[in-house]
Amino acid sequence: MTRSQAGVVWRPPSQAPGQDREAWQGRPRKTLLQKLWRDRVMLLMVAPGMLYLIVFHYVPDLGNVIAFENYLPFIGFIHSQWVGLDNFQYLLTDRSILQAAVNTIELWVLQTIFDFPAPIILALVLNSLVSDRLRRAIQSVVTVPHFLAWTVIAALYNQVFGRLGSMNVMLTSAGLHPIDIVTNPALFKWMMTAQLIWKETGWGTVIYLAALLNIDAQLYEAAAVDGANWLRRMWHITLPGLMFIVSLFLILRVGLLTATGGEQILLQRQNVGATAGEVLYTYVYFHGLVGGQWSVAAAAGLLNGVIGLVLILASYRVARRFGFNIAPGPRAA
Amino acid sequence: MIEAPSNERPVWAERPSRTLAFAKFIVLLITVALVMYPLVTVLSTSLSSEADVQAAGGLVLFPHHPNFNAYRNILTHGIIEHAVLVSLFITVAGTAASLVVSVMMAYGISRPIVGRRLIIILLLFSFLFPGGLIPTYLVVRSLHLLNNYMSLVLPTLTNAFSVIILQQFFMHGVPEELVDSARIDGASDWTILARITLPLSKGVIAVVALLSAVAHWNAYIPALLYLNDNAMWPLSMILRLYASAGQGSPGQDIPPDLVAPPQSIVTAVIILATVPILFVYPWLQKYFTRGVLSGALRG
Repeated sequence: MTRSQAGVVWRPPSQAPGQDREAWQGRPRKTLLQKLWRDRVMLLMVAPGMLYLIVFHYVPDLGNVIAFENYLPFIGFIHSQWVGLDNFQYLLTDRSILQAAVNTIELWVLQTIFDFPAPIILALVLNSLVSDRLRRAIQSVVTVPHFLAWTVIAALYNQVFGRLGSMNVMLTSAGLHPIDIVTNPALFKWMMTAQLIWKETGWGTVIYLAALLNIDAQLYEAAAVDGANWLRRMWHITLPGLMFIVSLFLILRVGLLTATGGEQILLQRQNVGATAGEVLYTYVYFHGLVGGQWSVAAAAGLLNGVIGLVLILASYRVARRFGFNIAPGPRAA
Repeated sequence: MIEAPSNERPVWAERPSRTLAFAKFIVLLITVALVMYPLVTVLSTSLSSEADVQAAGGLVLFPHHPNFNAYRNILTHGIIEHAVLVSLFITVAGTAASLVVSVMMAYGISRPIVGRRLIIILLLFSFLFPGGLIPTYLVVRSLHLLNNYMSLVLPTLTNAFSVIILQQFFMHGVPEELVDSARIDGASDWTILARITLPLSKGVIAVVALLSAVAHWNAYIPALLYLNDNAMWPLSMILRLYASAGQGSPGQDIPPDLVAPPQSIVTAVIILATVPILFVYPWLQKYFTRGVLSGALRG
């Protein structure tokens, strides 16, 4: 009480200590406890969300200690044997995680080469359409797959390309040999990339079209008056206008490397087996939950998470150089 | 998104050459056809009689004798009927719970409360560094949520993306003067949230709710991880079985009686899992084309 009373004393601004703004304005400074009481209603509102974060994010983060143990489910993590970095050492010599890492990178490269430019190209074509209605109609069709479940997409994929799928039925009825696509390891990553293109291209155009609309129409008009044909306008106006968002998304994509595959591959890895189909994400599932190598899988997951975090933060940092604030933190407010 | 002034070619633009126009036409035609083909054929097949499916050999492009036998069949088939109900329940309960928690949290951190910075940092970190698969599973198990429908709701109760989108809107989309004047008039925070903030944020709340509903309906990983009892499975997990049925891929956990169900049944299950998405799609599209997301991304 004495402290807050002392704070009421008015001091001229010149003498006001930097952080004591409340004090010289004549308002008593609040202690933490008083602040908590003042904001009790708000804190109560935030409480369920915080409880969720703690139980399902921060407790699991602590649960990563099993990566440093020889965890046995029936003993529990308290009594399981502490083995230090043994699990990580094992991972370094494990050929299957090496294969998973190679597969992850290969898949990421394929996706970056083929899936990344697809929406840009489609957006350019759509943007060149004169009829607004036609563009909207096409867009509303091609965006549908984005909202479909991977289970649905995998099922559609089997319906078309599977052993009994429509493509092989057509081939057979034409007297040709059916082609093994779904269970063919050599094609797996290509077909997964194709699925991703099918799912996300239409959705991707939304943002690129918005960027294209932001380009000043007067630039096009001036260029046309000066005699630039569509190709030159595209080269000198459209593409530079897209450069910012394209390079930004390319940078952010680097941060998603360790998450490559995910749900999609988890669902379809078994079509081709581990050698061609395992990615880092599925490694954790198949070795931990299916295989019972809890500690090894947790170590792999932890390693993957940390590398992912580093990549994301690095990519955000580079993106920030481009003047883009991704995380709307308190300061951005 | 698109607010093109008119449907007319600007005066300065030349007519594209025939070849170019034709090339564009072909690109768009192929794109639309590639998107439509699987969806249309699967829908047609699900509506076809088994004889027509046999005659076509697999997928039917157009149902010559349309009927709903396949749907009647699967909806009286205990497992699938139950799975649809489970999925609906999870979608409704999960979305409602998620919305309540996300909105309250977003409102809390949209005001300058004590510890706000810490809360936002914890929220963003959970997004950048998700709790690992194995540790999360162990937590769910130690809470005795395995083989419990709460395991499909609680581990994905809220997420940084939804909360931050809502918070940004509460801060910038709701006039501060309105909130302040209500406060001066003696409104409590609950009243302000219910009577001012929420009514002004219907659009963004609809987006978050729709996205959450789509995610819950589509989700299969929580069920794969936490529900061992396949009598409890939601539709996504049943579809996962049917998806690869008859493909003869090695080592799959398909019960023998499910190996080759008739084609029309498989396609009907696919459509069943897709229809709710198509049903809400117009709303989804409406909000996204209005730039809700790009507004949020602008940062």
